[in-house]
Amino acid sequence: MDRISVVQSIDIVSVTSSSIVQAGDTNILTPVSKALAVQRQESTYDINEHRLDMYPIFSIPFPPLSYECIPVKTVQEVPAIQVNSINIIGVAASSAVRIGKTDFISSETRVKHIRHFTVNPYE
Amino acid sequence: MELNVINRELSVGDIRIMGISTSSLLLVGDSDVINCQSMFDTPPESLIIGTPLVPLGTES
Repeated sequence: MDRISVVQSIDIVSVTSSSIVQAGDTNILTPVSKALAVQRQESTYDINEHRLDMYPIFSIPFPPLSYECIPVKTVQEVPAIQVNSINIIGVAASSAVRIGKTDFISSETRVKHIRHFTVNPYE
Repeated sequence: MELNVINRELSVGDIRIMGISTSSLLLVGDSDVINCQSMFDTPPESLIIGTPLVPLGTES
């Protein structure tokens, strides 16, 4: 017997880059996001200057997570989760706001920032 | 080891969050397996000072 999630009001300003806001049940959820942010003092960009395969961070595997299966017995005396209100400004980079039951969630994000100055900002 | 869970009254007032980012999760409900992984990379060589005419090379 599953629990029911009851939310009175939800207020979210922005949901970006493979993020999810869902009310209801889900079996499997696997958001993936790869971001490369290049900020330049002089904005001269070439079309195919940046390919994700140029940087190793986007290809090296994640360290394996080891976990142990433990038998779980749950008794739902009050099968409800109540939330009055939820206020969120931003949901980004393969994140999720989920109201309801989920069996399996596996999310992955890779972010690389590059700053490019023409004049040394620290002098 | 065995885990026995008895769920009784669970009610939350207001949730206020500024940001949820890089594989994070706000879950109002149950879940069996949660596996969130994130990689963030800004090494010193990511700060480049010089004329941007030469396109950025690849990292070895």
